[in-house]
Amino acid sequence: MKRLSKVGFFGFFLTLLFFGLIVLNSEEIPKAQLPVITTSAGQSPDVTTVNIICEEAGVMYDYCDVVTPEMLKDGVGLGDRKSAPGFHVEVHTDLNKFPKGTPYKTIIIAIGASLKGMGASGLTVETELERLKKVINYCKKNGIFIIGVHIGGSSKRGAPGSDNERMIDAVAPYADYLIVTTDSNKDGRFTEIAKEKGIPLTEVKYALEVVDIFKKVFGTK
Amino acid sequence: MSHEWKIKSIIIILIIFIMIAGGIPLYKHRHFNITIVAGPGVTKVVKLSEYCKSLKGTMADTNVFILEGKKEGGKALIMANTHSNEPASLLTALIFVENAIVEKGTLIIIPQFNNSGGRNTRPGDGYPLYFEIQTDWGKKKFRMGNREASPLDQWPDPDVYIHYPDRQLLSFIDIRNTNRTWPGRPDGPLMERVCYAAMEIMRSEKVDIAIDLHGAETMFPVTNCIVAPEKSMRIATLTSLTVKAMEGFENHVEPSPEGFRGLSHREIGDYSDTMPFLLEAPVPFLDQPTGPKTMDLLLNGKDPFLLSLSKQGKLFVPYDETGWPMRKRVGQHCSVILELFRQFSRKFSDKAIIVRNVPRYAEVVKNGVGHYYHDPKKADKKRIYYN
Amino acid sequence: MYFKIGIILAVMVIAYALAKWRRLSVELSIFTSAIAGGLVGAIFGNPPFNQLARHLVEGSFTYLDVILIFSTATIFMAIVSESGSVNYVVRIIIKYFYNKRIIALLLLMIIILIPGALTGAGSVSLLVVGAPVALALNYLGIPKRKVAAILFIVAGLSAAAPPVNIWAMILCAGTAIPYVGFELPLGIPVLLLGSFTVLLLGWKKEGKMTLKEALKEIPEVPPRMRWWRVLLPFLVFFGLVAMYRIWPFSTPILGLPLEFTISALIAFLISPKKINILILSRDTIKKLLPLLATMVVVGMLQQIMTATGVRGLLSFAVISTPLILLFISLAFIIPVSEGILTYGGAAVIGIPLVWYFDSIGLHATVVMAGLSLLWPLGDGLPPTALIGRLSVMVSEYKESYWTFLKSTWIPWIVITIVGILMVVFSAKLSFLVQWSM
Ligand SMILES: [Zn+2]
Repeated sequence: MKRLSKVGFFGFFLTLLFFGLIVLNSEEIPKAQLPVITTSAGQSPDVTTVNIICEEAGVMYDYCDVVTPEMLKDGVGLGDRKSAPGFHVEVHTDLNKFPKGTPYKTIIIAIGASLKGMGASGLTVETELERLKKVINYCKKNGIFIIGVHIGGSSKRGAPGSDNERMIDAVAPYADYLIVTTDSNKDGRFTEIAKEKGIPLTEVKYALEVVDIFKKVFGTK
Repeated sequence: MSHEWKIKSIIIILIIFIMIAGGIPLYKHRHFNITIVAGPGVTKVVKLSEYCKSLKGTMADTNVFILEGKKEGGKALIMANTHSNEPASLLTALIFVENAIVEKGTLIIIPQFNNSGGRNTRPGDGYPLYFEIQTDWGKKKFRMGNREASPLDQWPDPDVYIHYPDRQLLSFIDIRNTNRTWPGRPDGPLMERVCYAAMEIMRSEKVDIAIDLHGAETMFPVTNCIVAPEKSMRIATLTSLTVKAMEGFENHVEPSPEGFRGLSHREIGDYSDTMPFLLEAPVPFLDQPTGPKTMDLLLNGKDPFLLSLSKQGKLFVPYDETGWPMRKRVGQHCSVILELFRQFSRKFSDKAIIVRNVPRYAEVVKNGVGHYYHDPKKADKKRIYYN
Repeated sequence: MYFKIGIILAVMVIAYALAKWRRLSVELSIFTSAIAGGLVGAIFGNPPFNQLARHLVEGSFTYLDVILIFSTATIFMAIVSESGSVNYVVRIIIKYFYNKRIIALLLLMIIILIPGALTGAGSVSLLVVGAPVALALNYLGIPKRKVAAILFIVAGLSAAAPPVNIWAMILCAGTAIPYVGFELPLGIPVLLLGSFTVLLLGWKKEGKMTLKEALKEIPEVPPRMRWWRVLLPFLVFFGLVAMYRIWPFSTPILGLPLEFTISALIAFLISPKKINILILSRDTIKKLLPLLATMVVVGMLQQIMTATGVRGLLSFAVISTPLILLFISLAFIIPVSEGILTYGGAAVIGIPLVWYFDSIGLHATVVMAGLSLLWPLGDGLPPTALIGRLSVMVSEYKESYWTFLKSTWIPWIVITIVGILMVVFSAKLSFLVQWSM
């Protein structure tokens, strides 16, 4: 009995992998380059998940939850800024390969609104949107590749005009590549945006699959 | 005897009758013992007071089951009944105690962490005194306890609880709450000593990960999740992502707030090298807007009021006509614990913790919780523990 | 299930009404209601018949600690009063501030606020300083009805005032939030609303008593009475409370009942007048018995209501209310829940409300502060009317309870509006929490 269920478990795992491969093959996966910085759109904890997915994929990154164009300008190392309450900085980029000050080539934005998260950083929906607009403008001007990620599922979606949808509006249409989970894209909103703007989109069933996608995107092992 | 005194005497006799009729079940509840059959993996059973002498002889002392593996590896501590009205935790811990075989590493399990709370009731909240789990050999009976330790064991409460050592002010009720009295001290109030003893286990045995099992209301935003501080975040997140992908249940990660003291997921991390995790499974029974507080509600979690609130979008977990049966909650706890071990072992392969013979989510949902408890009548008497 | 629970609720209400109609006391009426609800519940299967006695006994212990605090605080104050200290203080306030009415009124307000703020119980304020303050207010030419109204409102505010607010603590423990940041969100409204109330109700001097006549009216003080004899018992009490705050890890936890008992013992020992402590305690408890009995039977009622699902139904009805309507109906829901369940209302309705408000972006701490301005108002509402009845008792107001309650209407409405606005605009007021820390 026990053995059987273990076999079943393994079988399930294989099926998952199989479907995962289909998903991966069905869409063109764009390539992106290091160094990379991660940030949040809406300050939900999903950005932590994205960071951990990066680590699992062997993608070394810099992180600031409330990054600004000024900080992006400082490049790798984020100008040695220190974390403070409501302001988090992490530098994991391989400094041997990319010394401090190297301009970023890619930004990964985890989309998902959390009033609590924004409150902790002293932000409102409006100031957060304002920040994102500036960051995206800067990236467009400086050729930084924008990857928009939405893995929060239905809990990070809402009625049109709600905080979560406004965060999506602020990022998704301007991204160079979108990665979303099936739960996040139940209503096909991301598919629509991708089609309209011609953005490559990868839909995964589970957030865990993003590990393999990041490996492909950044060519890590 | 005057007329007035006749009436008074009748009332006094009536009151004495109610007091006896109502008091006896409460007394019996406090002194009822749950039978635990130590499984094949249990190598040692000690008392918590071995780690804090001042607990000896108090109602707060409790059994600590130690399962040493065949090979050395990492060490994990599992605590259940930190809140004794969240019974999925105890049921999960007992599945581990009665079944787990440790291949590598060591498991330390405290199934009734707040033993005094487990022998307490919750005045005003109308709980049943016991609940029963159907097993393959009959029904297994458990005490339903309370969130806080019994005032019979720790009393009086101060006007406000000042947390040791941070001096943060907490509700006076929380001085008897073993998820507010971490990290504790050896000469503090009884519940601080309970937490201190557990801290001593973690420090002296060099425990790598500590898992505190809980349950929470469906209306509580922090439910159906793993609460983890920064240092446990990576393993918690990978666990959450993996169980979702592999086993199909939701269990998101919540960061442990830095400004809220006394909680296990905060203080264990700050006062030892151990990585803490707190697991929450939904307990519809604990929600305020429910029908009668029955054993059925406790075990199956079906309630029409909550169903209606769910449709209004006021619950923080998915909820439908099927409720939240105990087998789902216990199954989640089992799988999340095993997955935490696996993720930890992946990252620290020299300190791997490998446990087998513990069911995962799908198996518990299929076979029921009781399937994993052994018949004390057929067990070796020396392997039976009462608490 | 709705139907069954609805029937149980109806039976409980009818049983209470019938008991009142047969002129049973509040306590016996609540008890009748609890028994009736339990029996009908048992017919439907919840709680089982054989558990009914257990539920009643268990429920009766719900407020044991509150009962002990009430009893010891009252005996403490009875001794202080018997020793002549009360008259001594009243004499001094009247003597020095008779013609400085605003100062006198504000001073008396602060005196009522302190014991309740320190213990979290408005009842303690009334039991400890209610009688002398009521006397002083009388001598200032305020009629008994208005004196009772002032005592009721200010004692209620004292319970909400920091540092100890029991409603907020029940909510903090129930919703998993630390008990911090309440100083300003509670302190500022309490002081403003308290000042408003005493000045509004106490402004007009009625009657033509002169200072000389007033001083003559106040009972004589024992000749050996001195300042230190008045102050020492209070210093001991406040000292014991402060000691735990200052040295929390080396001070043994005594608990408020023992702290009051120790202070009572001191007051007894230094009294200039010989006091028969046994007779005094007996008489005090006799006077207090209706309130103590209320706390016992309300615990039973709450237990039966939960075991039958009635409590859940009420909580469900509140949580299901649409948001805007909910904000408005807080004005009724919160006080009424307090009137029926006393502190139990904070758990039953408060916990789910705070989580819900938190999830829609309101600030939990400020929400709790706002709500805890509304709860004390319910202490004037039947069936329990704890603080209302005490206010009437200590002010020796003898007429209809409703006339007394009606005279609180202006402060009542102002407090309600302030409380609800604090809830609605809690996110904007969250700076008060930050400044408190
Ligand atoms: Zn818990």
